[in-house]
Amino acid sequence: MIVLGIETSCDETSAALVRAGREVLSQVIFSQVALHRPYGGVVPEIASRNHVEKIMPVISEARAQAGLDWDRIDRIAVTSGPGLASALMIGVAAAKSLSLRLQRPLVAINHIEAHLYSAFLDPAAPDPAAACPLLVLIVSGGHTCLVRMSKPGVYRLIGQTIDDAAGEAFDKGANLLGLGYPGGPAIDRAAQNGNTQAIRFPRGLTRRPHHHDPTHDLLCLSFSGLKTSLLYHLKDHPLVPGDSRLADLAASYQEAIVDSLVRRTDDALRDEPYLAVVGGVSLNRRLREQMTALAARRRVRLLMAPPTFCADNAAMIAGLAGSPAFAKQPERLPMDLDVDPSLELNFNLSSATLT
Amino acid sequence: MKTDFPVAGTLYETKTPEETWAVAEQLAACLPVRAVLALHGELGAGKTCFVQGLARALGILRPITSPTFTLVQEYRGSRRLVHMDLYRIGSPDELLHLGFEDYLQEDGVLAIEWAERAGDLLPPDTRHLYFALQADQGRHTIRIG
Amino acid sequence: MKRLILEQSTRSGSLAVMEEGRSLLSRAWTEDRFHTQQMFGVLAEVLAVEVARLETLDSFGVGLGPGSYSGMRMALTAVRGLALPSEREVYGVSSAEALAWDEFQRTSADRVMVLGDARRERCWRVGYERGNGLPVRCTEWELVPQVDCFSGVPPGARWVSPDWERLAPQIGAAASRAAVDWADAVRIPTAEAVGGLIEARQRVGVASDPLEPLYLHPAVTVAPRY
Repeated sequence: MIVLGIETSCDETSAALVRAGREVLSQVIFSQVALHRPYGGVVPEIASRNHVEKIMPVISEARAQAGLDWDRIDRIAVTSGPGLASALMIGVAAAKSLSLRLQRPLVAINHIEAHLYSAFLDPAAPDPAAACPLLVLIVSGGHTCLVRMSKPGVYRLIGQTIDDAAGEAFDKGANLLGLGYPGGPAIDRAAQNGNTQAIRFPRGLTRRPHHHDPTHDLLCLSFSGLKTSLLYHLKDHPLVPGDSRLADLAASYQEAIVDSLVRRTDDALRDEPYLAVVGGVSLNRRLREQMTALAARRRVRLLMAPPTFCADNAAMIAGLAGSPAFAKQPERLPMDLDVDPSLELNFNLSSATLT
Repeated sequence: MKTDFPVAGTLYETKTPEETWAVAEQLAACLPVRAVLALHGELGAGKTCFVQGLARALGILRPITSPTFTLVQEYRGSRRLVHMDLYRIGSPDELLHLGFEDYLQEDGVLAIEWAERAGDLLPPDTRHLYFALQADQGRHTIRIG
Repeated sequence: MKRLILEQSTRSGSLAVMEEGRSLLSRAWTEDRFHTQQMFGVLAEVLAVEVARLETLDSFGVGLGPGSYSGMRMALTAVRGLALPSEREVYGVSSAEALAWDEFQRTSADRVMVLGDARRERCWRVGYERGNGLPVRCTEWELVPQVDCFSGVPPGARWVSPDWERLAPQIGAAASRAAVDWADAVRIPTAEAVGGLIEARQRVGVASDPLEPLYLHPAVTVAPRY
């Protein structure tokens, strides 16, 4: 089965063709990051305007790169949430019109679940069913959570941020350090030769009763205290141009985020054979290094998506929609599909064994 | 029995997140079925903490995370809570494309950070709350506008 | 040449299938939310009708506004998606020009001013003169405060607006002062008017407007953060 995937949930306009959930035939991403950079974050109206302009050329290019006729497409998959409403809408409209035109079923995909699936776009990854039970850390600009997948499509929430997402913590920190947007790559670069232990920033690790089952704890992460801590540090010790402390500050700040994520993942691991780390923040070099070390220490196999499938992309959308293991069903009333900006993963709440 | 919403100028002082939650719970009890709260104040002034308190009062158990990514987070408990962060909104017109008017038409509590970006789209019965972190750090104030 | 046209720059969306300036089929709907639901439902229903089968459509038309951002974006994305696989033509015109064209067909007016709600106490406006079969734009696209929305325009124009009912409470007094008769000024751009204008333009070899919604406002009005 060949699936055309469409992704417009935030500031990347992307389309991809994927065969049988695993073989990426083509992927095109138009990144708007430079357009949003002057504003220090994604501006919804700029995102919508660019999605409208770029979506058809991007889809057309993905089809051409795959070298397939339109009628070879068996399904059309699109992100319906979570994300920016006015951005999601464009992808959904494009998918509906192509579904009508090509007379092919439409599959609505949850963006977070697609990030989780991106680990299986690595040709070396096992079949999703064979990788279960699997612990997954999803870290991106908008999401930070730990999820256990007992079988494909069945999830338990193990931990999550109670305020900012890790990617947001990078953005805010980079902004305070004058490193620009997006913050993740900027801090990663600035931290290269810095001392990770120069400043001890707080790790926001707490527990609270799990909202799906109060008899268990939710492993919480918090990054708002970290951001405030950097703010106060810079008030007391302002940075000057060309300041030699910048690398140490960036490295120490990055270490606080990475260390929190690694420690929480360590806490969440039981006896799973596999650990997956996915999402845009999984591109961070220090996080990759520390997660590799954790996996070795805990004797689990680490799955990470190839770099082109870490940030928002359409291959993960098409991949999940065409995966035999996940068996996604087309929409019964495709033309009624609506976007859901606050969509959550479909957690299984029936069993008591949450942690 | 439902008490009236406090009059303009009423001032609350809180020293801990728990005290901020208590104020939120007290105010939540005085809100009609459909209410818009505009939360004003700097980063770190206690707005998000207040929304967490609102969520508790409305029977919402899942964590209230930053709405920065999607601009809107919707929660369902015994009542509905919509948490919006308009920081990245360039003009009130953009709000219309986020379905702002639709959110206003449904029952529930709409808590809006950076509400000044909504301009004249805020309904006239919007309740304004002003948050501040006082100079002697650790003391927060919430003033009813 | 058979063409399917979508117009959704107002909440009253419409669709038409036209051939040689004649409407074969039309539908209208009122959107109340996000402009995604009804338009695609109607589109699916219409494409199943014999005269509107996709294989028989040579071209697609779309109204580009100004108006509802979501509505314009949905309509434009829909026609481009339908046209993409077999590289059919997509032809876009301003919905305001379609309104003016329609008005010239139905009345003897020589000049039509189109006025719309630009929110935040402002209006957008644009003027057209009756040309040789096609409207000729005779003013810039302007954003003006509501109180001044009739100022600076020579008298004698026929004023129409898709938003008249919403604007009336704010601009009623100004309309009286400018002696504008707005008892019969409500005009909603329709797919048939858009299709008629496209037909007329193509007859004299005028190309499509750039295929992007007419926004009038810049994307951002706040300054960059640094």
